[in-house]
Amino acid sequence: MSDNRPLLLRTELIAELTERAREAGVYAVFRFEEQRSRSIGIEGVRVEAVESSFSGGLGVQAFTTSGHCGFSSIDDPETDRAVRALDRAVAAAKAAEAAGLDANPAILEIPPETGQVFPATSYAFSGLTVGEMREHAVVVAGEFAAAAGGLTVRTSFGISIDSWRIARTDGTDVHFEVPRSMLHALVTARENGEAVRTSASITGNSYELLLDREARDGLARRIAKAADLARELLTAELYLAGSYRLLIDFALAKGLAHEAFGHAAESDGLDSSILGRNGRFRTGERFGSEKVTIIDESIEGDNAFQPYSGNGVPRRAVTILRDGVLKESLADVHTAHRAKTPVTGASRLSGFASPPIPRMSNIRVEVADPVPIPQGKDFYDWEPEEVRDLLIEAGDLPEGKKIIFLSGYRGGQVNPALGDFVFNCTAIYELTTGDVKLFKPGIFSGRIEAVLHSIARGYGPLRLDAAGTCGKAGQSVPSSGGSHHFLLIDENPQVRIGGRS
Amino acid sequence: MSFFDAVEAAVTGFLCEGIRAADYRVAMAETVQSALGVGSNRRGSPYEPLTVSEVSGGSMLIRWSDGMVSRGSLTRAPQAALEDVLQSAFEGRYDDPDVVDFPGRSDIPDIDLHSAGTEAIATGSDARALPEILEILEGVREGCGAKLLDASARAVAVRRRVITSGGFRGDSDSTTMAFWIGLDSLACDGFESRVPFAVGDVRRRAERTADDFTALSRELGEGPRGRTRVVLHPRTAESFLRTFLFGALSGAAVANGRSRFTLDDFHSGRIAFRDDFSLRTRPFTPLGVGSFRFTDEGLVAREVELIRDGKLMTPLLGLKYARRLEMDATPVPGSIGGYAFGLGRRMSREEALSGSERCVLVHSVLGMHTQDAVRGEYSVLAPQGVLYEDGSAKGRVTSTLNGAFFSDLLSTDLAMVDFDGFACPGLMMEVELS
Repeated sequence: MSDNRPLLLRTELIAELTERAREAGVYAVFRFEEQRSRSIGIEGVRVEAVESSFSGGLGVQAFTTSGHCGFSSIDDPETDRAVRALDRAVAAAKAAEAAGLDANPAILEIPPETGQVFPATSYAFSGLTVGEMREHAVVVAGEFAAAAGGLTVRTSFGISIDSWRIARTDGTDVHFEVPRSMLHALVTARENGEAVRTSASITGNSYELLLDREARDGLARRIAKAADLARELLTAELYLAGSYRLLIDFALAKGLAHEAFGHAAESDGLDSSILGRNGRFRTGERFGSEKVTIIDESIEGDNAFQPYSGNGVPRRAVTILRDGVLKESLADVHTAHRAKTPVTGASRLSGFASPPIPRMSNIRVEVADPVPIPQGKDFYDWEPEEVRDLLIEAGDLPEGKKIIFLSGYRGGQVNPALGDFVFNCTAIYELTTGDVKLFKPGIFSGRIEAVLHSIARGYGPLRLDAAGTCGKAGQSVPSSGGSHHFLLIDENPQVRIGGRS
Repeated sequence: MSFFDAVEAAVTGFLCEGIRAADYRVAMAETVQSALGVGSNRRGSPYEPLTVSEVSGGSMLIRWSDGMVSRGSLTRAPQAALEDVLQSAFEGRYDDPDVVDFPGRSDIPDIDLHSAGTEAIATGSDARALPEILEILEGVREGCGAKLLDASARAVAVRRRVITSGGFRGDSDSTTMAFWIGLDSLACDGFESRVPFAVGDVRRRAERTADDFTALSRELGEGPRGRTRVVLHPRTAESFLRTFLFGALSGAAVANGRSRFTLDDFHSGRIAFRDDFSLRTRPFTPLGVGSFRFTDEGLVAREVELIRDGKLMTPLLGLKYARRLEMDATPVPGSIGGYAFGLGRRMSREEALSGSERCVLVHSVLGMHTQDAVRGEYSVLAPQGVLYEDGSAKGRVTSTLNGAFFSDLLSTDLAMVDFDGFACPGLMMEVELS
């Protein structure tokens, strides 16, 4: 189902801007965006805020024939204002040429592209009024509060539809929409002055998260588990810092792939990234175990979906690492040539007012020959004791040994130049053949070069819906990814968890 | 009709099902910005081009004649989109007994926040200033031997208007100029000012970053382990303070049981910090980067004591949570520069680093946003620390900092450290390193 598509009305304006840019002797990219969104926040069952938003505008990036560039953006781009933005971008590009700034003519050589992508959704954005959305959300919040068994719960729901039309003076004209929704619950446990937060969330692309019984019941079960965990963490201790044999879940594996590898593979940073040498991607060099493959792929319906790059180039799947060997960079038109890798349409759009930059979409770690797990069991129904039993059955947890299980992703960060990455978990479990002990979370840190060599095994099928938000250069875009249900990482002195000394 | 006026007219003219806006608050801003960047030594590349942009937008809060409440936000948009947002907001209206305060006419303090020089740069009238800054930074890179410079410079001019049905009407022009420098992704610093930076000032600050780069370039590997004196650089200290302290002082978090502190803690003046620790807002410094005249809620600027002699005085309260908690609203600065931190033990950077037999200056940490702000316990990686022994920089060490920040703020080891050019103080404390 679809809503109105106001950007369809921009065709005449695009023609006018194109003509004006040609007259000025420049090549230009026009990025029109309109985003509508609705959100609600509920404390317990009390509505704290309901908000409706609209944002829209035009970003113009102009290039002289020598590849010097200028950028301008403006909101409410009716004709006069759009022309003003174009004129400013043209002036900036010519000033850049006069000043001898960086010249990058690569975009002048790429072929034109046309196309439209409007993903199907279960419910149209305007299929519910905001009032109806509020009423459904209040019911859901009540279910979540009950699931949390008396702990404080904040429920939030957000839905947006982000419409883009990207045109270039070479005739390129692509038009797509990215519908997104997220249902999130934050649980807080307090006792004796201590407080612990846990959370659970699901993403989708419409109101199905509120309206479909299966989705909300699944999240309610996870909230009940999150509440139990929050209570237990109140009295849990820190684990002893150090290097261990580790097990991480698919969401943490997404964090690992994203922070430890994906950012370092982006083509705009290869002058400093450890995956680059003199600006070139280190294609053909080994960076991981031969079992490990890392792929980035924009998937329709996913949180990080974007079918075209910010320059109107179709985004394709990129195998960054195959069987442990570097294959392709996440490259956009501006730096693929320098990286000596193909253009993959990797630039993401964070808003009309920002020039697009190479970013990941949905990134996954695949490990050859994963250990099968019982079919039909939902990932979130796995108890730590069952995970321990799986490891024993697979022969990976012998008597007298231990594996440290990091569960639940809480975000991460990387310095691609230095090769350091970190991410955090919700809880740590020490798994032994005779016991499972809970500890407070500790930061998981390491060296990019080391960690992929230490991935030993995957368990279960791929699960790719770990969602988050990625920040880079002051821009923020939705991200996602995953891996097998669990990944085993061998002990490595350059991969550590923080904790007590 | 200006966009400001169009929004106000749309709100006051809206009528649906016999219901109209009984009270309202509209906060709008028009922003013009120029920017230029350097990425991997390339100035003005397609990722950091010479840019001139303008955007307008804002938010509205409406209490309807049926007593229900709506919120909405938008960028400048055609009339149809504006009406659509209002209609959606109306349909989503909800009951909120705490939204009843719409400030009336007030004397707005006359604080200078605007520089004509910065506005000229922001609008592109002065096209030389941003390239000049970057040229200086490029020269500093060459001088210190760094291979790669990443940098940016920008100027912003903002015209704000806040109006309420109660009679508040505030207009404010402000400017901000900023530059950022990163050397080989090892050392980086960012600076803000309301007025254009003097050439000498840019060079002096960048050369200090270059000195840090020189120290960070000598890699020593793993740093000290166990309990160790660290000095958190102001950027790092700010990330700790924002995550833990300001998170705990949030009125919404206190009201909803998600803060480390309870309402009783504030009413009883619980001593939660060292007894010489204080925190207050500082909105009146002429051309101060954290100064302001009024907030988006129509609260006029005033000094507020948040912590006095280690005692909790008040959370940071907007009108809604002030009413719910039955306390006075607190006008909140938009940046860390709008706060004054006090501590009996305070020293310069040089004193802090030379006064210890051994300490680590922590320039940055990774993973702060993943910490549990309520608990206050932290475990963050510090790959950019410089080990100092007897005041001499030995080189770069990597450590993981583990601790409990609220305990750190109670410790007698705590000291504030002033760094030239930074509004937020650095923090010296004893931390468990692993």
